[in-house]
Amino acid sequence: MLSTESSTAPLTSEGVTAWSAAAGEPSFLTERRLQALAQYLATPMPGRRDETWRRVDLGGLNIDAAAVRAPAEGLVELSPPSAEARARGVFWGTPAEAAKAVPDVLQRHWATEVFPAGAALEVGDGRKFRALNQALWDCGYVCHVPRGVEVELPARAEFRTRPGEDGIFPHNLVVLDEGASATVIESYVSHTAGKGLCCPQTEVLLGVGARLRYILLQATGPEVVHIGAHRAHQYADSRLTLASAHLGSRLEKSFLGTRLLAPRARANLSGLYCGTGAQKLHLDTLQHHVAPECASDLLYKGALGGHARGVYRGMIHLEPGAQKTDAYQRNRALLLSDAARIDSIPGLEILANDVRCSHGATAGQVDPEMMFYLMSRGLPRLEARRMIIDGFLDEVLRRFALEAVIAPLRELVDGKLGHETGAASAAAA
Amino acid sequence: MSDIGAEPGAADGASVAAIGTEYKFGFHEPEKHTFRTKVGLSRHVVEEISEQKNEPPWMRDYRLRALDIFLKKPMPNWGGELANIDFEGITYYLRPTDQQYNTWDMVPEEIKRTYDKLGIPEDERKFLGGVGAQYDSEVVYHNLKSKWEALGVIFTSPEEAVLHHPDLVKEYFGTIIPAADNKFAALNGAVWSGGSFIYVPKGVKVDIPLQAYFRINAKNMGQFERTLIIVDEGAFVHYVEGCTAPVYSSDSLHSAVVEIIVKAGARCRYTTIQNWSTNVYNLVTKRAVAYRDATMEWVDGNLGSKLTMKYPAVFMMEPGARGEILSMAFAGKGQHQDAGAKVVHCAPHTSSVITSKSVCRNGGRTSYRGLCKVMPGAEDCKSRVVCDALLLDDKSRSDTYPYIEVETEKVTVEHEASVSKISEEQLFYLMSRGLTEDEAAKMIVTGFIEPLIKQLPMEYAVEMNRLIELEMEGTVG
Repeated sequence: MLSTESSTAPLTSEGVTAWSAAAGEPSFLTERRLQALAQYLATPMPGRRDETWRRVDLGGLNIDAAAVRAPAEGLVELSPPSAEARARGVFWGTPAEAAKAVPDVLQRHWATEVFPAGAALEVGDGRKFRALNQALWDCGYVCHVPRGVEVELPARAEFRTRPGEDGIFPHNLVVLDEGASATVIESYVSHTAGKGLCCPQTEVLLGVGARLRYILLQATGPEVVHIGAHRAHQYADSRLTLASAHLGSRLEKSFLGTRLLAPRARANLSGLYCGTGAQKLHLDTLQHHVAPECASDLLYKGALGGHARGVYRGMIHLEPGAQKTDAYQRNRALLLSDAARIDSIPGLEILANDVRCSHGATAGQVDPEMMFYLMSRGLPRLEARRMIIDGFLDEVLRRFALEAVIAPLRELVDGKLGHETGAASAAAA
Repeated sequence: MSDIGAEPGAADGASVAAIGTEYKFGFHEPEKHTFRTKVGLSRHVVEEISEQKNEPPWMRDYRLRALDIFLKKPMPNWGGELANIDFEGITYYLRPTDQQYNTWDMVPEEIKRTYDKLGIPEDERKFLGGVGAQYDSEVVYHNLKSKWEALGVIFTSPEEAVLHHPDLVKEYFGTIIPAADNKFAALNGAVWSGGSFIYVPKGVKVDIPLQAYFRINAKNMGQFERTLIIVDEGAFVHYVEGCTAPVYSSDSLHSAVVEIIVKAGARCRYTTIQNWSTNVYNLVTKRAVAYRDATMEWVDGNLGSKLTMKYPAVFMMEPGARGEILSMAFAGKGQHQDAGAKVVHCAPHTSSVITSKSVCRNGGRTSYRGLCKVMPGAEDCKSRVVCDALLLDDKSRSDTYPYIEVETEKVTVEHEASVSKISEEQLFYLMSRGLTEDEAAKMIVTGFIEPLIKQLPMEYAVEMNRLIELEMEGTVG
């Protein structure tokens, strides 16, 4: 673990170098931090003329101030690696531990391929925040599963935001070698009231035939600004199953996506977002088909009450040569109050012709006909409404697959929306 | 893919290779002008245009304000590639003849020849409600059946309207699309010339389409027509425009503004067949407002131009208003059709449907870009958007960028889009019945855009089908 005092690390190359040295990082990590820092300093804050950020009200977020807190203990709790997995060569631990145990994995994949440090940023990307994470990451996990090893037990990482206005910058790396399989559960919570920035980044590499179930939970505190990026690179015949839930924070902007780089890779992306009060939840998804014969299927569902605003931006991008692609993208939003707002921007960019690509988006209220049906069978209004909302979200909840995840998640969602439906009905009555 | 040209029913004896590389309407007449402004844009040029048109000071002031806005606005950083437009290399105004002609015989010979080549025959007058044909900047020929005139229908150039119907123009001009709306609307506000002005009085139903044919003839000519259509309560009009330009090596700019007001209970349909040559930047702002129980329909076909950026809009202002937009785009080599539609539900109980069909081939790019917005309080709105794209080869590109913004709870908004190629099964089926691959592909594409063709007046449907056949020559193989 990094063990510097909780002193301030200035956003300069001297500051970052000193910090990295104090943590005893290998020189290649220091270099990548510096490359990212240069990129960060050269990149302007996203603004109104940047389509990806146009709808995001950063509200004068001072990331320079949020960024400068040095590493501290207790930012992340990792589930203990099983002795059996370890015996089979699986690594599960912090980046600092990885630098000692699996330096080659780190050197090859940490900020080199999925989000290469210092590389020119693409449109539709996290822009400045992506570089910021790579310069200042202060916690994280590394998961490496060697060739042919199948890990049964899910690996869990729970990140906790810092108190006050301090930021947290988790950087994570998942590498599954050929034919490996694993389940990773990554969650973000707040145990203390904080209004800092939570800015995670996860790089996933799936080798030939590898299979990953990746579960992502965003349940940070009500004052937190959460800006994250999670992306996979998939090679031939690999399979990614991503399920994400976006419940917390004051403002979230998360980039979720996968690149299908070799034939027959498959991705299943799904999730839900629930906004209440004055929450603003922005999700950007990417299904980037580079190779032929790949398939991706995406379903995101949102429920928005109070004055919440949801913005879903999705893109299916097919490169020339991505023939025989099957790609789907669905976004459905349920508006639970008159002041809630949803923007849905599902995009297609298709540069290959022998493909099947489609998308759909819907937005609307709790179906009055369903309400009528349930109430005519004697259910009170509130219960009928809740039943319809539950049914709406159930389709994605089931995609989280693990009962250990679904039950608490359902409880979180019910707690959030139960309050909302009650309030909405009371107002309507 | 060999002897298609020799097949019966294929191209008129022309070699297949030539088709698609040669623009059917690429001829041009030697330029003869009574007046043209200096190349480039300046306050002086704008003042000269205003002076040439004998405009009252209020219109000149409007132009100058629009010019200031144009100069201040940044170029859009989305849509197509606009960096190559040279605003200083364009002639903003020229006038081909001295006066408007109200019978065909008085139209100068070379202008008539141009229209003949375009296939607008003299006897079309017999069945067209009125033909306003624009040749470069001024309306040179105008004819509206006396029947409609007697009912109070006005169909004239906007210049005439400024002089003879100033109250109507002052009331509506620039109210639907203010100069500050976007950079190209501002440019049009400064240098507009020609276009159509239509007023249909209360309760009058013009049952034959009013038509205008726009054409750019002069080299480096910008065309900035301005159309204003007011359909009074309970009235109906169908306006049709087609656009063609000859091929020049340097790029031309067409930047029109079309404003439409559809009052309570009225209906307006506006049909465009855009077939500019493939060096024209076609950057157009079209918007309608529809009041209580009114219906606005845009039928928008885009075949030509180098780059089109055009998103006909309907703002539904009062309950019962309805917007319908049918958009069709066909992009070949070097073309980018960034077309789409916007519907904005400002009032409760309003509905809209957008149907988009696009076909791209030979390196062309079609982009559907659309907006469906439901404003706060606009309850019980329904909107449905369906986009289908057909990609004919692996060099072409199709994008879909729909924007859905819902700010009220009790609504139903649906969007669907799909992208596909001509299916092997369809081809196989048709070819097993004796069609060549080329014919089969043509038939499938024609079927694909059938819903749009059906909405066109007969003579346009024929022209459209013919144009698509020409575009489709030599597609497969």
